[in-house]
Amino acid sequence: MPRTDDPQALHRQAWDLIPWVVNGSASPEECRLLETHLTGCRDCREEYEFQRRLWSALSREREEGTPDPRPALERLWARIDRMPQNEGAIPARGPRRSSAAYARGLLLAVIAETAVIAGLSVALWLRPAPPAPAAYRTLTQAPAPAKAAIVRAVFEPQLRLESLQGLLTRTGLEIVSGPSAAGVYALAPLPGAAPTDAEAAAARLRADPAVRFAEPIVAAR
Amino acid sequence: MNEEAGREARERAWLARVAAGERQAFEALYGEYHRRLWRFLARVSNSRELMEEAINDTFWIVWRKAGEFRGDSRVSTWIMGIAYRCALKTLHRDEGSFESVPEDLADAVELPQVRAEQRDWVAKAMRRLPQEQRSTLLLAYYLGHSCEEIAQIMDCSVGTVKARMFHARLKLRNLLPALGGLAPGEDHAAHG
Repeated sequence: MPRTDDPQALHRQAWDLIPWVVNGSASPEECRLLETHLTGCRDCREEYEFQRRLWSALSREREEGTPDPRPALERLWARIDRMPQNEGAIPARGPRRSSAAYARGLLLAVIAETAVIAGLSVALWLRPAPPAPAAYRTLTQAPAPAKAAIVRAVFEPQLRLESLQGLLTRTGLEIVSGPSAAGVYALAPLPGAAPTDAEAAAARLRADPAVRFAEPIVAAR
Repeated sequence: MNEEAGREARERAWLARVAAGERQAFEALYGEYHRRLWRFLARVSNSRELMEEAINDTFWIVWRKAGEFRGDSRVSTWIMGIAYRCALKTLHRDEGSFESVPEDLADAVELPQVRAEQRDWVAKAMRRLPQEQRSTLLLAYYLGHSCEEIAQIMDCSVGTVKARMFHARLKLRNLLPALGGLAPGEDHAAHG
């Protein structure tokens, strides 16, 4: 933040800072600057007090009249479920592609995988296999039951989304629940990943500086 | 982990799970933001129907675009940016839904005699502000966003946010000369 010795410029700078100090978003340096200025400027003291009371009045807003969100959420789910599947949530992993291209690719991959599995079944067992559950789920199906978690972890709060995804991919884990009120996530091995020892998975997580805490869940093994 | 950092970590995790198509995480995020968005929109609109439409339009986009969140802002800034654009689009479509109080109601903004009436009185004064100034003040005082975050949400420069806040403050000082007992000439002895 530029500093100045011109009293008028300093006054204007302090005046502009008042709302951001009041709402708690100003930096410590900006807070100090304003605090120093307030000791010698009655206008700014009055304005600071006025803004503080305005902020207080607004933040004490009554909450009656806020409707139950569930009916609106149900309407939104109905709208999402009417949406063509290729316009659904777009997984963030991998290079960015259009949702339509992504859905087409996913469909082809699933068809190819199904064909290979079917061929192998015939060749190896020479008998019809019972119908296997799909290895994927559509976006409109209910989520599969949570898998058994093997590790609990807490991440650094500034961890970016793509970094979190990269970290989970590297360690062969996925989030199955959380975070709890304390910010704790439960992690399970990624589908199709090699069997993972909980202790080893926790150790891999601990090796990453973005992981504040990781411990194996012994009871889950 | 302090409260704010914990909330941000929680919301980022929800968003990551929404990007993977997890409905439970989406419902958690929706529940968290519905009340905040409703309170914000109630200050800029007089139509409950359009408010709900703006909220659901916002979360329709969140469901589809969660994977595009790059993590270079708080989750709340990202969602409020979407909500602000949805509100502009939805509420402007219906002429007059961006509620403002006509000039002849200026007299309604009187000195409060009872502290319990203060909020209604502040609400009336807020409705006298142009939409951009009102939204700026609400984002700062209602939702606690920084100047830079508000610039991102409203898709304007930091200088524009400062100017809107400056004019909103001047107008409110004229409309609310006695907010909290700070009538002209009063209270100077205590502060001077």
